[in-house]
Amino acid sequence: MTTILLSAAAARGLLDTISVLLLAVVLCSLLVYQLDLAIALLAVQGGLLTAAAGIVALATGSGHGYLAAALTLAVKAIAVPVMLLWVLQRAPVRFEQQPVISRKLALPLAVGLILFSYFATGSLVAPEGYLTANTLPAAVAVLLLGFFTMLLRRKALSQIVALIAMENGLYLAAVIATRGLPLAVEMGVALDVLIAVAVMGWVSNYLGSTFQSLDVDRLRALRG
Amino acid sequence: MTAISLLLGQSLLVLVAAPFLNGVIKAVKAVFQGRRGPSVAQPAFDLLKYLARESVVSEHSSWIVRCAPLVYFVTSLAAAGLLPTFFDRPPLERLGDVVVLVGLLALGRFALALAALDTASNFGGMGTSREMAFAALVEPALLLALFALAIPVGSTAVAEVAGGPWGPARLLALGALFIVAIAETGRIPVDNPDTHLELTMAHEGMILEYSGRALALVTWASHIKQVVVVSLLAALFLPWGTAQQAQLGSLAVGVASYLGKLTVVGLALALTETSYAKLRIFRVPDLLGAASLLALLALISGYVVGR
Amino acid sequence: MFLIALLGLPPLTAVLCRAFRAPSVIASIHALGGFATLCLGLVVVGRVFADGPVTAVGASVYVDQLSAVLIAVIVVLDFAAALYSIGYLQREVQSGAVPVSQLPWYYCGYHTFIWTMLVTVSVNNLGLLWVAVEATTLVSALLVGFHRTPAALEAAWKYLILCTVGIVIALFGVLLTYYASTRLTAGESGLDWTVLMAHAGQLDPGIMRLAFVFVLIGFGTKAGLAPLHNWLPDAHSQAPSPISALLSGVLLECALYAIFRFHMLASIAVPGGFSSRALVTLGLISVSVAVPFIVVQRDLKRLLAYSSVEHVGLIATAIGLGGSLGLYAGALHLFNHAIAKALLFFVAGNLTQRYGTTRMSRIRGVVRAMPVTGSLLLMGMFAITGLPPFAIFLSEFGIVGAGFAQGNWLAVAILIVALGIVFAAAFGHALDMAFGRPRTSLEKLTFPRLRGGALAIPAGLMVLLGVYMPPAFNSALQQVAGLLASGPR
Repeated sequence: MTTILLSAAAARGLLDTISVLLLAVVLCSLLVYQLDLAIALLAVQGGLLTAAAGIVALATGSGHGYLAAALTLAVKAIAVPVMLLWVLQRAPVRFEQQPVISRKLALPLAVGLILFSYFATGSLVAPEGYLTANTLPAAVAVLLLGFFTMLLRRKALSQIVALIAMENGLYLAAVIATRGLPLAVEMGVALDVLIAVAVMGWVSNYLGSTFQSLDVDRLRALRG
Repeated sequence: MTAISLLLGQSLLVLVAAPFLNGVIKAVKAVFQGRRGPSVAQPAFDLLKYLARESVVSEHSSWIVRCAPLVYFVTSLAAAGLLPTFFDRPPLERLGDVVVLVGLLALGRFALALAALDTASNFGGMGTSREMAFAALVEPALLLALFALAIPVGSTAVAEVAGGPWGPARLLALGALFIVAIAETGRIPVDNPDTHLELTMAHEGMILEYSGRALALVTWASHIKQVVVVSLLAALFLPWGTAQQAQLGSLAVGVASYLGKLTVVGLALALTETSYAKLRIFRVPDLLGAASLLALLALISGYVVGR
Repeated sequence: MFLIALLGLPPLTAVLCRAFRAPSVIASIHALGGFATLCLGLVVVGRVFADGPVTAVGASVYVDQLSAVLIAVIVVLDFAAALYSIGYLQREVQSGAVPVSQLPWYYCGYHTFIWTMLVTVSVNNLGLLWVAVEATTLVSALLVGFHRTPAALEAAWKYLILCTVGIVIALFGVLLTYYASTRLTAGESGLDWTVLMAHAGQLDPGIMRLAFVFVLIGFGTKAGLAPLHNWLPDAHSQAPSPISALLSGVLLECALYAIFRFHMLASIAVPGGFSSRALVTLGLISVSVAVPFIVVQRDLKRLLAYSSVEHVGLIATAIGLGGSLGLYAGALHLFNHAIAKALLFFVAGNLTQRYGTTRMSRIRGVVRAMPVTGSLLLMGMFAITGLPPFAIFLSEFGIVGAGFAQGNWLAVAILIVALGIVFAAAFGHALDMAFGRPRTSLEKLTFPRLRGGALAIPAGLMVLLGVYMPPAFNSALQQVAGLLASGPR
């Protein structure tokens, strides 16, 4: 029934590279201020995750794996970026302006986060299965970098992008460490991500029309 | 015996591939910019044309101007010999490592700078000062990045460095080396390879006084240097498909994958060139500083994480 | 059977509410749906406490005693808030704050929200539990922003972003748990609660410790545990009052429920009481952080929101302290807080509509202007601050007692000081509002009778539980405490 099309060793090598590439893409998106480019990078992340899920599926030959890869492609690589572009078209902004801290400062801090996650999780689990030395640290680093990006962004839309990046880091860990979550959970998570992006897009659309800006700095009426 | 034939084969391949790589990059740029560019072979035709012409040299210049093209050409070709291209190991492996590679590139640059100053032309002086200012920032970044890759594997030999594990150090070094590659090949946003406008040029200013055969040699040498830089990136970050043994089949695969890798990296360079504008000359140090920063961070993560 | 009906009813009601136009039709569907959910819920709860855990749809729905308490809280508050919503929205439509066309959306969202919470507490799979908790955020964010005023949108945005970040962190904890479990069972069912509990002793302690940390941070954000509570006062103060009641009374406790599930796993898998200490620490921080905000608060609904932070902290502390007394008091407090807070948010809704503001300095002389609401305000405030004869007094007393029993003197000291200050401050605020001299004369405004009925449910329960503990309720709580102490037996 199950046919294995990729050797485990080859899969390990490819997954290792994909982990580092995902980290690279998220690091790049920390330095990108154009919103459309940030969304494009999000689509690239979706593509990398699809590749990771596809490789696991090829190596394990399980139907669940193929389904998960298709789901990833549909949700993360296509639907989410398209929805965000739709919101962007209606938004009164194109660029992330006035960075909270400069890129020169942000980059070393981001690298510090990467090193921290390698340092903290590098020895937590021994490499086994498809889990290579880079997988878990890269996943945690993507999570932290996404959070860091979020702190540095002022436009509601870029915060959504950073949030999805955080979730992507986790998804990478899920695909590689446990070969995906149980199918029902995976579909539920994908549905949640879709609805989350829709709801956030909807709210930020209203923010845009109410405040004439997507600047979250304007959201400071509620205090104390 | 095999080392010598390998050296000959690799040098021949590099000599031929060099003008064509430039042609490919130009063609890709033309496609991205929505125009119909010259043929891929055009740089090669240009070289042939220059070779057939007589070289004219200013009578006030010294022997330096006559020697510099040869030095530049030989150092570039020797640098190519230090890199693994289609074969697993570099042909001149015994003669040097990454440090020698950086030194050879610096020597070629030094010769060219001397020659440009020797002619006492205004453009030569201006181009030299710019090129040297960039070089002072590029070379530390290049060395630091290479050291960051060398520390985890415990060797500075190119083939060993290329086989290191993936990790944050490698990732950051890749970022640094890519910026270095842009600067070393004289491309936008650091330099503009297409014009002799005095506002923008650095490398082109230095070779303005050359003509005929000497110009052919200098141009060819800078094409070779471009191949060296691109091959360095390819060898370090795309270490796939190289031939392991001296058999015809694996050599053919090696050559094909090498040409493919050259094209891929060239594509990335062309893409960068078309998506950015030339930086103002005073902003270039910021970019090159970023390369040094990335390299330094790579070095630190090499120590902290071990890869 | 009843369980499936219970889970199927709210979405059906939601769809029906959306399908009709006439406000009166929608309102009756809405009320009927709420009532039917209440009945079904109570039947399910009764069966669980009589015969033990119930499963349905294979083993993908699993309701044990802990879930049953939450179901009881959800259905009771659902019905009360459903009744209250009708009158509340009528008034909002009359005053022009809400267009009639938005009503179906409100009711549809309301029942979807209830549904997501019911799913949260009744799924067997911890991954699906995560999915359901995230769904509650998404649905309730739309309800928080329902008024579409700038402040409401701001609150909805903060709520969405902070809770989603939190929940993503929690997903990492879920993932680590799955990883720990797949190493043992190597199956797709590795996240099922029943499977996990069966193997809890063999799970890798290092991974489970990390997993619990992530889960606590993640779901703790959703539960409003300080210092992760920043979204809570905004969302609770800007949402329509019946939604505030549900957010505060039920939603926070659903998030706590998720934490407790992982706490039960971690307390078996990780030796040394690590998860208990973490819960007590965060709980005490929440109680202490809430105090100064309650003292200086000027906004009624924000006051109630910070009070929720305090009480969530109390419940977490109680469960963390453990022991039969602590667990019993924690479960009781969970129920009591939900009821009292719902009553207070209903009262706050009445006051807001009457005075047109939530600033406490403008709300004066309530007892004279609105005798029923005013006396309920006083009663609710007395109850929430832990004054006897109300039931919260019993549970708070039990929690402090658990501190004594465990010899955790630091916890006892912090709790006594914090509860004392909160008592004085909230009491002062309540007296000012109830008996202060109104600044302006108010126009006459009467509320429909249905609304009084909505207030009567929590008020009646609160008084009843304070003076008389039904034996069935008592035994139910003891079952929950036993479950929390030992796992599924």
